[in-house]
Amino acid sequence: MLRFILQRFLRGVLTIWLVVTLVFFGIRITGDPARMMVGDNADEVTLEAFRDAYGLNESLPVQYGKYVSNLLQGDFGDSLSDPRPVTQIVGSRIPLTLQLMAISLTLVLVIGITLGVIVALRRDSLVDRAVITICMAGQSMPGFLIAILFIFVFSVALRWLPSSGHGSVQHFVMPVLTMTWGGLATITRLTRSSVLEALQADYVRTARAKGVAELGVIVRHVLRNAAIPLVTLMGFLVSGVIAGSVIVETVFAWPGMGRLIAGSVSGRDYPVLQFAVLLVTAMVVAVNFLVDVTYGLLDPRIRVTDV
Amino acid sequence: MSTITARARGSADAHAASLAHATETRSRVILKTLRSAPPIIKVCMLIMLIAVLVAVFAPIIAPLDPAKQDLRARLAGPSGDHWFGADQLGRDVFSRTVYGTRISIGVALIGTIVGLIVGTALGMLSGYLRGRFDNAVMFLVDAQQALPFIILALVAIAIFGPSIPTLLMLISIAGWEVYARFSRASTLVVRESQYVLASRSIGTSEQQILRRHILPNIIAPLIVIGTMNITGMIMLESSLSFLGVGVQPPTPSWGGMIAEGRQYLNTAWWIVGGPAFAMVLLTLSISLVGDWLRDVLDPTSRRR
Repeated sequence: MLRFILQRFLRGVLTIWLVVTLVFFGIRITGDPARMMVGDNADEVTLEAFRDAYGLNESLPVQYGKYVSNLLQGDFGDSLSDPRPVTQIVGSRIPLTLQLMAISLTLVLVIGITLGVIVALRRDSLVDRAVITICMAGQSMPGFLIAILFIFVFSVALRWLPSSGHGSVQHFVMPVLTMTWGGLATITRLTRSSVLEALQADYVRTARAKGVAELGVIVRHVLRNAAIPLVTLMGFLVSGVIAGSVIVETVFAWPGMGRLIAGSVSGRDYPVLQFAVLLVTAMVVAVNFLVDVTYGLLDPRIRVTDV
Repeated sequence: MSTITARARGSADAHAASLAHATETRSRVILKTLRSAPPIIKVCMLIMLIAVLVAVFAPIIAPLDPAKQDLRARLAGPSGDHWFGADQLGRDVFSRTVYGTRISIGVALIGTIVGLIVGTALGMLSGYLRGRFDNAVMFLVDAQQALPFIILALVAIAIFGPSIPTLLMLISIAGWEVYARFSRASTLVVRESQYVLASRSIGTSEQQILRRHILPNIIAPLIVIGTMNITGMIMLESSLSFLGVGVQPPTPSWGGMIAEGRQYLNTAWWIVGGPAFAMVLLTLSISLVGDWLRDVLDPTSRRR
């Protein structure tokens, strides 16, 4: 088990390193980074001063060595558009994104699992067909379109909710609904299929045969087993809401990390982008690591065969 | 739909090249399957076919030049002159939606095909060679699957600049891991089969085995997966264009049009309505057809 944990941990670190390195060299190899960062119409003196200030005149391996050693010491650089260190800028945005993510994830899990179990138990009924069709429609619509649809209905037509900004409870409703939507369809469908699979298992037939009450069969045998595949989806879900936050925060002018990332791309603020990407990667890797370890604890087959 | 059928038939041909009657049976089976599709699926296939035709013949179908501004028609509602209305610059929303189909389908289709080729090749080699190469490819697959792709895409756009070539590259990269994972898994099964062993024992080269025995046996489901993935690719392209970092104006793209029309939601909803309607119609059709195809090809999944 220890070997399994260690191996998964190293894999995670390797993923973070790979992303950091790719981004670092990507920015420096594809052109003049000073020109990319300062802007196209900067004069040579400004560019030279910029190169000196950011150490861009040194050879690539030297720059990379310095960058990595700075990272390891917790120095992630300063923003180009704002004199503060990137850690401060990103840090001030994270709580707002985490709030959205936490509420949406909770809703996705509670509603998605409940709905999935209900439709699985009434397979092929009208409710089942309706829910599955709605899920498919949900998965075929990109997040930004859902967001616009919500704005059209709740802000433009009904005038119930503010279309953008943050500060009050009402401001939370549409961003949370949009973020919940995409994950909800996936979780509902997955819960449904894994409950259906568990229902056909031998142990369920055995339980029924020995006279366990139907409720007991569902709760103790079906749901417990159906829960296992859902654990592995946590990493996927977290990754999904992070991706969703970029879109949702842009549409609703929500001043969180997703909007910061989108803004740093069009504003060419590379230090902010690099740090934000590092943070997102670390978050996803950490969640996946925890999922792997939990899974390894739950199911001994994984840690024995997959090493 | 016609393209899928044609391609599926093409692979069937390759598969049974020496047995003409077998090919005939195979295509007859495909035709029969298509005919047995429920009406809603037939409608969806028709929509897909129409979308492809609209993309190909956009200049003939569009009644007006999508870039032509007509300030007298600014924000004009749907009418005989402008079927889907006109936007904030008086451009015809219908014509722009038609041209947007071209971008959306073009980028998604080319990106998917490139991703399919690269992913399948790497996956096959992974499954066939095993060892270090396999570990390296699977590490990349796992890493990409874990990370939110839109973030990686944004970084790439920050580096290479927003353009259609960048989008094509991103869409190819977005899909490769799915095909690599699948083709690796099926290669692992096929390489252990009797006919591969027989072929190897008579001295067929590795290259020949991969091309003549493994590829034809794993390709059909990959094409179905690719077709289903086009929905995701259309959504990726339009999301990036919506964020302003994909297809750049004035080139019409569905995502870009929706982003522009967003500010006019309460006065001119049709600017968003046209492209949104087109996109949902197409993506939903592809999803429904894909789901049906999966059930037909894999009867065990129907019971779930």
